[in-house]
Amino acid sequence: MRLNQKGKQYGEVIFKASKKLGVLEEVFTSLTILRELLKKDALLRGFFNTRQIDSHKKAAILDNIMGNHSHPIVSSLFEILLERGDHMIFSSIYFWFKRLRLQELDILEISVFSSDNFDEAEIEFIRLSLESFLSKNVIISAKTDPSLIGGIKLRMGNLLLDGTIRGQLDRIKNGLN
Amino acid sequence: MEIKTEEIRNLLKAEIEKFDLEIDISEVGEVLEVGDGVARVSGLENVMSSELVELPNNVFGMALNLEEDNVGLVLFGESENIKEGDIAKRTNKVVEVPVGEGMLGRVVNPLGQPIDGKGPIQSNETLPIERKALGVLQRQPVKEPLQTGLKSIDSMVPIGRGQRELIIGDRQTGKTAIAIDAIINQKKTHELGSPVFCIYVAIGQKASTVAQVVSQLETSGAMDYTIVVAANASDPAPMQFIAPYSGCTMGEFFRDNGRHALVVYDDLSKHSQAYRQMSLLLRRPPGREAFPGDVFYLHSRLLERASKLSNSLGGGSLTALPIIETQEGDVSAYIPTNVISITDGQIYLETNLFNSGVRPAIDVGISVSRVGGNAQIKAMKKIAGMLRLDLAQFRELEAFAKFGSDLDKSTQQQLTRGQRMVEILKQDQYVPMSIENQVAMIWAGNSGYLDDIDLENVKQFESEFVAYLENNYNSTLSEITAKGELTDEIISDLKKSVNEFKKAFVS
Repeated sequence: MRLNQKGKQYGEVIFKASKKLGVLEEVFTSLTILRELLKKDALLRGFFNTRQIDSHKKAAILDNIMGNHSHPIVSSLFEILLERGDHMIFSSIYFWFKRLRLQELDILEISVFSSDNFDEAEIEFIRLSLESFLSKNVIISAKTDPSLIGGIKLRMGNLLLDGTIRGQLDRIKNGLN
Repeated sequence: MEIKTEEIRNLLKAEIEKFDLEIDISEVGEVLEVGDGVARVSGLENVMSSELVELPNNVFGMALNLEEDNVGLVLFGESENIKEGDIAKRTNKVVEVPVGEGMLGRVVNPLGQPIDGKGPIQSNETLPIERKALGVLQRQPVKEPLQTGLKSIDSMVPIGRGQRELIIGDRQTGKTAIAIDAIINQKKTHELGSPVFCIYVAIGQKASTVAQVVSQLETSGAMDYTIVVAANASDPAPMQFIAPYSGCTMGEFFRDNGRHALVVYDDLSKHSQAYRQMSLLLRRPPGREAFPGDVFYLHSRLLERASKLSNSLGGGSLTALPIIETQEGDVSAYIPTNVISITDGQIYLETNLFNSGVRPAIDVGISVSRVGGNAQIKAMKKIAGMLRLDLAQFRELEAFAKFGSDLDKSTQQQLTRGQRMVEILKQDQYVPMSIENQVAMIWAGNSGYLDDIDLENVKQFESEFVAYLENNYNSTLSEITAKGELTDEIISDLKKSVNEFKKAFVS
């Protein structure tokens, strides 16, 4: 997909620039906040889509909104995107930047799904077990899904390990079909 | 359906016993965008082309575009049930359909699921819908006839088992009628012990039209050996796209088991339109008439699967009758020329002939069968050899005679014969004729026995003569079937019968 490839190119460029300047984490935080803002606020998205306001002004307003969280690399990037009309691919840029950052820091993001809430000790236990097993730094994001009934499900990148009762029941259902 | 509780209990027990041992490991991706029956998914780095991918809400997709960082899926369900961020899971299997005798008599969708309300399909075997066509060594030339029961086809454009014969023509010229007649005529093969199983694939047609076809097949007792695969106009384009491949796989089951099958693709014009829609939505570059570059391969890989197997592989066959609808008789459009070049001949139906009452409205001039002649029985070959030429000459003379100038006796004779032959070749729908009756009737016409019969009485003559033969000369008819040729004895019997009958008919 052409748009996705463009996002990949932008993502790689700002990743290299941030790494060179030693501001990887600051840029990532700024990108994350901007993404959340754009994701949640439809009015803001509409504001950036309007053609009646100059892109410089839009960038300045964004800087004001972001306040201390604004980073010059992110501000410049967004201004360029606005000028070129490419701001719609921001989430794709974020996706690629995040992916490259995780690779650089040797971090694996793992989502853990279960039917009940985990307490902190349980999450820590899972994290340590996975770190020793995978020999990588692991960030756990725990999610609750009562429909799983019991057991846990892990999502590591493109891999899904399903040890839930719901999964077992689904497999029985498929077997009987 | 009988519910076997003990069997279900045992199955459940077996499944529960391995309950806590299994952890399902699968590769997943995330839906990036979805709409118009296609989805783009990130991840799924190892997905195979044509692999089935599971999405939420029991929707399945087929991976078609494998790109650097995403996969293009075509969806077999409602795309409204899928949203951005949903998980797409690999199934590690390509699209498969159930095959076997349990499918006979059923109406199914292109995934092999029943849509006729007659309960689940009794079939344990499945086969992938995309299978490679057989190579040269596995094949043998077409040599057995596939009788359609239509005089004009069996005599002048004969079809052999394993052949691919295109039926082409404008809308409302009787294309489907020919295919249905051919299916109905296979009933005899089931009585004679060399059965031909039939698969009718309806692509992009109105549901009411398909219902009508099914009802006609049921009325004629043809549903017992027929499978109907229906991807209606209201179904998503991906369903219409896979329909002919599903039907072909179902036919290949019979072929690979040493039996014979006939598959009708009705029609490939709509199939190519469905593929064009999918390709454009998948952002593949459009070419001529906005079709993608691989539209030739779309049909060639389908029709190449029709074949006559070598004796070492059981000698089974799969005959294909693809249908193409032309616009204003334009056979030089993109899809018609493609399919004409792939198939082993074409039956061209003409609107003018249809409107003037010549039905089936076959244009003998441009209809051809490239391999069917080898499969034609000798008797038919003998009498039909000159028929095509005679009819072509008659058409020329007919045009000339319209100027009203005085005609010599031999020309008048030729016109009289031609008119009667055209009348003989006319045939009503859903009344296929057995090959021995066809031979007898065309022989009578060719030999001039109908020259003194009024044109309007030819139809009556035919039906009564055939009945007369069946009642009084059944042994002669059986001999034609058994020997397959016109011996002097058979000819003298036929002469005798026609003279006897004419006396009664004229008086």
